[in-house]
Amino acid sequence: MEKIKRHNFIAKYQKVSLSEIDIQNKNYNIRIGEALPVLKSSIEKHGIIEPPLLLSNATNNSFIVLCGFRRIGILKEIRADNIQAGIIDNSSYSEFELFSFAVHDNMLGCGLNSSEKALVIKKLSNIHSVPDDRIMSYWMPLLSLPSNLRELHLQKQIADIEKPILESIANGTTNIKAAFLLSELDRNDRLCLFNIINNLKMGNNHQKQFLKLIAEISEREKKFPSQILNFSEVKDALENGNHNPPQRVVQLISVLQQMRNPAFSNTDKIFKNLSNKLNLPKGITLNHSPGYESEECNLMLSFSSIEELKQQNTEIIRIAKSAEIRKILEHDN
Amino acid sequence: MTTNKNDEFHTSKLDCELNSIEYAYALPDALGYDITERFRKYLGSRFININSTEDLPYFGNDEDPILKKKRNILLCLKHSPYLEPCPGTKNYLCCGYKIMSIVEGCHMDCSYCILQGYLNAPMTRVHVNIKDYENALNNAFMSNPDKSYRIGTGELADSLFLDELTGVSERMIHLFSNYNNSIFEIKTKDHRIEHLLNLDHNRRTIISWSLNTPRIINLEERRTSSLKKRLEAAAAAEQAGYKLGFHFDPLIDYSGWEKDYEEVVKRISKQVNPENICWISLGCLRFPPLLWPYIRNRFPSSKLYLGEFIRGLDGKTRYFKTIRTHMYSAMKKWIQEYLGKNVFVYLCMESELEWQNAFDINACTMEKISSCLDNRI
Repeated sequence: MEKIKRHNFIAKYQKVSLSEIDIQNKNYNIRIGEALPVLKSSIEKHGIIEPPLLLSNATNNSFIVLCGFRRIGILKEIRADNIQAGIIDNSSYSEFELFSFAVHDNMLGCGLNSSEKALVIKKLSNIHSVPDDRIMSYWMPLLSLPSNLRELHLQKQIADIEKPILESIANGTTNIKAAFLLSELDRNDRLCLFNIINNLKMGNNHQKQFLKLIAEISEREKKFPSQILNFSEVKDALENGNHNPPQRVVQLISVLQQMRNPAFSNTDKIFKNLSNKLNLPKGITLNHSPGYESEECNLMLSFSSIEELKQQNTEIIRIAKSAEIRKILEHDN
Repeated sequence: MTTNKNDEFHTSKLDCELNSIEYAYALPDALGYDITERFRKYLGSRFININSTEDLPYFGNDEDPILKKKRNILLCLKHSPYLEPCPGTKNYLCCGYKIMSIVEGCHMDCSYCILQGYLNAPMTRVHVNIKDYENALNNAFMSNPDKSYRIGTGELADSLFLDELTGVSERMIHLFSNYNNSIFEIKTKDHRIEHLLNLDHNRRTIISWSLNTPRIINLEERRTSSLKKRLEAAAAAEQAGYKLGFHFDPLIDYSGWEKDYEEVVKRISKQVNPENICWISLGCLRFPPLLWPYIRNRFPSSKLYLGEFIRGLDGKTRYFKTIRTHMYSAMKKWIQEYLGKNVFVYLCMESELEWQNAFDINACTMEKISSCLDNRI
């Protein structure tokens, strides 16, 4: 149960050999993703400005990291020997108090990314047995998360997904809403779809659109999401060698939309084919009513001179006499 | 104030409904009315007097505010107009129906119900001044003897919610039995109609059931009666001499809908005589896009989102027209096949184009639909 005494954490500062610090113990680590390059260059230039906080581990005469995993990681990487660190007497504090301290310290530093927030929620619930209502009333507002049960479940779901996806959320490559959609899939489907998002470097909106379309098509077709990717039209879009990744994304979304909305797509295709056959000149566009809900078509003219307008008048007469415009009107009915 | 025999009529249906109510809040001007006093009697400590609506609790922060609104009742007065035209929807054809919103809010819980996002009220409202409704009806019927009225209480509520306590249907059945230019329609998804079976209705009341396939009822219509029970109730109503109505609204598109909906029509034919069916309406699923979050959050297992939707001319989400045409045509075919060609079938809130495509009726107008339905009464 969550219970915190009001007191100040008192650390005793001393020099510690890096070899004595056990960075495998990640009880208090809530960091996901790479450290910012600026942190490494700062440490290389100025050394450690804010000393990490460590707990002494009496069982093997080593230290456990409470705050400063990234700083210590960089120091080990650049083969530093020792470090000035604050040592906290862990016998004075509960596990939960120490974890809470780590969360607050990280938040006050460079803040927490979306994956890290999810990890905090999971640890609060699973390791520290903080009740859901307490997480919603205190911790979620603190982490700037909407505090409701649905969000809480989603955060826990996110924290359980695979490390590459969590890292991708952390570095901003995968959108958090797309991650929610990914978290609802089976592992195999999730990784399969994540790889496509990652390889094609999809933007935020396309990620959400892609996952939503795949989920809905698979539900309707009663197939696994990864099986949808084996449909020939989808494969063609994914493997089109003539297209660069952004073009493949556009083609993929278009193919999926046609699969998701076959009746609309069919009508739309016929309209576009007939409309193309009209050979509309520049400045004249033909549109159907929104959703093909009424019989009306909409012909739009744009011109910048009387001559152009006269020319368009001739064109309109030609269009009115064409077989295609009749077919369009008949088909719309 | 009159006493009502419902005071003695405390059935299991009413028990269930009363048990589902957390509190009833009565505004000062609602006190003294029969209905208010019955609520006080049956709810005991769950009946609360308030001075104004500002004293009502706020459910916005609750986990499911909609459910809270369903379970709490505000007893208040309705001010004119008592008889209102069905709100219809822009650019689609309405049938010219009239509604009386004596109860606003429904204890049943359907995923697609627009009331979830439609009613701007702190909780379910029960208007206790029934006499004012009755006066308005008498005035309308007597001053326009040549005009036909089709009036129902099932637009903003299930007509039978708390019906034994309020006595609304009984009083309306009695009132309408005196007029030949009007018909009263009870619309429900409930099968518990015992309290209506022995009333003198003079065939001026239609009891209508909103029907759907067992799959949709299980998945999307919480706390409603099963199809079997609804159809058995329809048979009982028919036995009691009532005219019947059926509303396939919403028709929902899913894999296998054809077989399921055909089966429902077939089952109607086995339960009731088509001659007693006054009308059957068809309406494909439609709702304001604002309803999506309610469906997603309150009905996570709902499959409604799998439909192929467009934004209609009224801004509402609807199935694409070819899907609607297919569903309406198929339903009409089955109705004619199993129930005969004399059963009147109409489309609810559809476009002129859809009347033409599905029913082959050109230049359909609200006046034409209204006149056809009026002729049925």
